Amino acid sequence: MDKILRIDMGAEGGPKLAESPLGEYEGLGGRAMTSAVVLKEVPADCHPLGEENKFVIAPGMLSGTLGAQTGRISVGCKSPLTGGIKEANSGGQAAQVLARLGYAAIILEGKPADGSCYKIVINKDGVSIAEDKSLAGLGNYALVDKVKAEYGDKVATISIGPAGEMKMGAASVAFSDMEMRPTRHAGRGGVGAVMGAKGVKVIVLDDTDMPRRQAKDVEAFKDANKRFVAGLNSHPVTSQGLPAFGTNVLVNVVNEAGGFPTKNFKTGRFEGASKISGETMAEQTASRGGVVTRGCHKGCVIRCSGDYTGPDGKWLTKQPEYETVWAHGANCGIDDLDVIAKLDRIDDDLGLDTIEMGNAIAVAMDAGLAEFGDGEAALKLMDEVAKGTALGRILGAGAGAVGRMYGVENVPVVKNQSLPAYDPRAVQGIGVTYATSTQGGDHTAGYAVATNLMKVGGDVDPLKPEGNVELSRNLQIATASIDATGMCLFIAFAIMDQPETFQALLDMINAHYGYSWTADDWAEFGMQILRNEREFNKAAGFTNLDDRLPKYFKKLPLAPHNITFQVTDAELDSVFNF
Amino acid sequence: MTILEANKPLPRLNLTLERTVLSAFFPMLQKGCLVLCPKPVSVEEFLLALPGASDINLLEKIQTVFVDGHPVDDIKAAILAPDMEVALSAAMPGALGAVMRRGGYYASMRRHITFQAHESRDGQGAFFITVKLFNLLLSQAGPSLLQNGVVLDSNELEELAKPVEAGFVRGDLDGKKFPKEEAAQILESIQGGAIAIFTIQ
Ligand code: SF4
Repeated sequence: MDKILRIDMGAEGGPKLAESPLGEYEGLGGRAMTSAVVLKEVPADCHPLGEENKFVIAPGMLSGTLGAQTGRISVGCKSPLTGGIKEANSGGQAAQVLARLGYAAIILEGKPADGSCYKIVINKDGVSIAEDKSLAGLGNYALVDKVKAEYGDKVATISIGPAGEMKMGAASVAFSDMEMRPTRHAGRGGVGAVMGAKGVKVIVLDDTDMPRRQAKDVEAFKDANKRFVAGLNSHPVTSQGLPAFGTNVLVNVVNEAGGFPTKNFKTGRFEGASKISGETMAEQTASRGGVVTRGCHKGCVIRCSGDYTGPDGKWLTKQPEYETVWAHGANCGIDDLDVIAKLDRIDDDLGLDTIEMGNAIAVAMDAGLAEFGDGEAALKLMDEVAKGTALGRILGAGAGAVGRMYGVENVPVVKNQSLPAYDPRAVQGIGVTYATSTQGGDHTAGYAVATNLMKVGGDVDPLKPEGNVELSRNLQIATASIDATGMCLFIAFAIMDQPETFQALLDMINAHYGYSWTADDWAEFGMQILRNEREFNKAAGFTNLDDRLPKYFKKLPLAPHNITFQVTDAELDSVFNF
Repeated sequence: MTILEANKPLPRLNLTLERTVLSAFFPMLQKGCLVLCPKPVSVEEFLLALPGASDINLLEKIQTVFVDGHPVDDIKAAILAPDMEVALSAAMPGALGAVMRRGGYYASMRRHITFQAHESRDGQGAFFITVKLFNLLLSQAGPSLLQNGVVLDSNELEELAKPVEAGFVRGDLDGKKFPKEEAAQILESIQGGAIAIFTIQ
């Protein structure tokens, strides 16, 4: 992973390829790489769909090694949804394959003529790029089937569906999984629209005959990885809870806490929660003959994913994640798992972010375009998106756009990006992250990681009221570090609870790169990523006033606890004090 | 009128079942079961009194506790009172999982909804509470709760009739033994609910 591939999509005479050494980006991966490139090379005032924006794909620092959980990949650009910097993260096979092909990043630059539809193929012999109009308009599933027919089922794909081609604000970038299905998505912020604007429909990656990345200290890396895997295997969340139920296991718990946003964030409890819970989905999958537990890439030992099998016993989609089940389910008042799974499949095929689309439909329901709870109506709305009708394009532009077009007052967006599946009134510390994240309303920006071990920003007394701000800050810093490694965020519990597992993770980085990082160095690394992202956003015109939740969260109490968001603006402004 | 408001003694159903049918109880346990609490005790005391609780390290497995929807940090200080709803979960992933965990490092992030202990143990006598089990606890704590005894209404008994027959080892109704062939019919015919005690083996 010692080179960067740049493709100038707008070059005269057709796309021009260039490879360069890493230079100032040496040692970076994942989110650290994408955010550094975007800050340095993208004018903050550019149009996100214009030639000056860049589309950066970067495997994590440890991707392509034999390290467990290292197959996450980052996509970065200026976001067409938020207008700020974006890092969207995904699983799938591409991170490992791209890293083994030797690339720390692919950067798509410039802009070809409208309607261009390019296919890029990268293998041990090099890179080729050619127009292939036969791919235009294909859904991700048909596209990947075509790739499979031509290149076999051992390759990995990075692709966009029709939503990306239509440059929708909710468009995602799809990554094929171990079964070569386009089920993993860098969903947030409209990154698919930027890939669409670069005229690239699919990137095919083939690492046949490419060696695994070797650590500087092979034995130390193996030893650290062994300890790391042992830590994951011994923790109940990573060894039992996630494999058994997937992320959707959170439905019952969040609903019980009264923080499960229902019917466009109107209440915190959904009466149909037990019908769409992870427990129910796991039972149903098993009874329909599906596989309950799968990984999204080779090297995942947690395996939080699985199949969603339809009533006919056939594979329909991957097991929808918690965020998806919430967005298309409770938030739209829909308690039918089969409908939710169909919507998930459509999102994956069109290449759309399930969180943004679930919110867009919920806001549309609030506007009276359909009744809450009407699954068939939700499917019809998705049909409008697929056809690219005027209504479909409004929906595909995200919840903020739907709210503006239909005059809905209460739209749950921060920096124009939809909030995910926890109501910030019930869990106010997470509201701090939603408000202040560089990414817009984002759940992964504040995942629970080893901040108590890292002690970023000093010791925090979690029982003190002001703990919310400190904890959110620490979570955001630590999450940025994890996003750079290529590690899946679900390692969080094991490294949070087990100091030896956190040490094993640091030892893996040190053995691979020849570093001698301590927890402090790792924290500084995360802080630098956030500083880069803040700097870009500031240059793009963001101020502290953008670090706010929509005002109604402060005014409208949320049942059942009847509580409003109480963190003050001054507290929010103190999150980024480094 | 609920079965408890009917104010007449409920029949006692004792059933020993094979573990293979345990999952048939999951929807009911997820939604919540009425359970008799003999006196005002803390959540911790209640849990420790469940059959087999210490053998399976139940307290360690229960990482997240809600009382009436409020996350609980100190299960010693949370005293149960009539009609309370207690929900129990294993440790959960993600930010929310960490935030909801009892006494966890991130507890202050949800301090606005955290359970505030204010109930006293003054009340006398037994009362009913609702207990919900989520995720891993369905299989881990389900057998203990079922052995402790749960109040089932006639719909719930009807729903369980088939799985009970399938996994039947032995059973009696108010001390009167019945064979496997009659199990489903007996469950379906109980009117007005029953206190059911299940031994899962
Ligand atoms: S735990 Fe889940 S999200 Fe993480 S790498 Fe494994 S399958 Fe993918």
